[in-house]
Amino acid sequence: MLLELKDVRKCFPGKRRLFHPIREDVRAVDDVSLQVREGENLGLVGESGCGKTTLARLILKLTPMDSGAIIFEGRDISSLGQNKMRPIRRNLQMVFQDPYSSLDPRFTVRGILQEAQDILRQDSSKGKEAQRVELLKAVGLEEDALNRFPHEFSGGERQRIAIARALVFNPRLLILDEAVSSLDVLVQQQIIDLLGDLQKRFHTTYLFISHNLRIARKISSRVAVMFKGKIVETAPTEELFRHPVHPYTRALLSAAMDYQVASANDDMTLERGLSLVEKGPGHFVYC
Amino acid sequence: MLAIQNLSIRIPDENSGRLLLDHVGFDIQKEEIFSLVGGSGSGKTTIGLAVLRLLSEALKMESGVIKFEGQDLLGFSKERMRALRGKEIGMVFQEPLHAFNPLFRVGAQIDEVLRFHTALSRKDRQERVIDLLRQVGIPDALRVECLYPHQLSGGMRQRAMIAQAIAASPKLLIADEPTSNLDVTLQAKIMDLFRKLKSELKISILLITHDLGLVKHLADKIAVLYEGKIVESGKIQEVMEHPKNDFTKLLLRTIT
Repeated sequence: MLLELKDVRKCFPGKRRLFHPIREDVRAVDDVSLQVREGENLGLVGESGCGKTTLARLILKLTPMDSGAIIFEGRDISSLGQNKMRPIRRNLQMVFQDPYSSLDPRFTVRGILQEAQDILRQDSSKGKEAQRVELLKAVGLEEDALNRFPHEFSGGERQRIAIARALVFNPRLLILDEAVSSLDVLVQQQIIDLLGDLQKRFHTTYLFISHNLRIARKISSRVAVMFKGKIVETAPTEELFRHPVHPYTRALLSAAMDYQVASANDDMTLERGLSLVEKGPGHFVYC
Repeated sequence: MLAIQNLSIRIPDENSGRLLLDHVGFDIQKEEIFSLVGGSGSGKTTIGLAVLRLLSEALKMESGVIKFEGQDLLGFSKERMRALRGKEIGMVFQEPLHAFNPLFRVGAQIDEVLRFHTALSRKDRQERVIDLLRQVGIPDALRVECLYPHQLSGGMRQRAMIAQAIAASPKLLIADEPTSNLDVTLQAKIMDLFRKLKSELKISILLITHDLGLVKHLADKIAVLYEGKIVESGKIQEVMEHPKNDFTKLLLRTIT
């Protein structure tokens, strides 16, 4: 098991309201348990605001969690401080949603990659330049890109640069947070193809976060559906598409495949206090 | 309703420049949802802006006729164009946070359209603003009206912008990537709203998007744009089932 989450919880304080003595906290991530095996790609899918990104940030310990345990490579990292986390993050990289704000505009691509390489404190500068060129080629960019600044690239190219930066560390787990959502459909397809190729070469496991089941399907072998901070269904991808059980999964499916609103009532509610039950081989439903 | 013929637009530079649109032509009928689909940089947005005569002065219109209800829009004076925008043709942009003025409340900005284009009294306008917000699916319209654009969520903001665009009951709505920044659940809801606008308010819609999946169940007709040329067009079902052009086939593959 590469990554295991056990009952991970994160609440954010809600708004204080006049004449309401009790503040209602927002349960962004509500007792989530999840496993990612080496070599499988897990898709984490849900609408905006369901807690996907918070979960990713908890895994990287960019946000402190309230309770639960995170086990990465067999080691409990939940109580590690920032200093001890640093070497672990080499194996645990992230590509962010917005390629316009995730790359420092004052650095050339060389500088961006170099900054990551410097963290590794590795061998000669010659070797580093060669690695930079190799990484750029791997993500489908030319060598001359090294001297250019992020603003000179299109959204798709920037996302390639962000992927190259993450690959500097040759991480075991790469978290892709809505990495293709802001791109147009053709570029989306290119990046997804690229991720497939890179996986064959670098053997990285992906945690692919998206609001769109249709896109998650292309890259994930297993999908976890998240709703209001809870995982409501997990199953192997094709099984989930063939036999969606939870009503929310069905709603997401019809939105992603046909842009149809599934049910008449807009606001689906979530019952708390239930648990994940195995309905079929590897198919768990919150009920 | 809207007829575009032979529209060519060029970006001039030292040499001959680059053709943004290359002899583009199509018709939109009454109460029809017409989708214009293409990749980024294909010239989709340019067409939408050309219809409203909002193109940058730096671009050169080489040829073309744009007719709206039989009248030649290119011959209109600036004043006549201004009276037409919003009143006859409404527009919804991709990024509602940039399209709204951050300094004014949402309600006031919808009201501005009514003040400019209608003769309604202050009180009637107020009622109409609430009415419009409810029409686009904002239940607590009274509260939302008093909020500033940044206080709304992405989906709400997009609805508010649609409310603004249909405020003066236009006959044609141009929607340029109206849902590209929203998650699929919200996209589905906005598409539902478009369906309602067409059936209840009899508005024709020019829907500009890169996502074929979005228009598959919604549009009546489709034109596929590639590098400034329309490479394929026709009834949506026909094109989806029997695509002839390679680029259309490529687009279709992205949504399976």
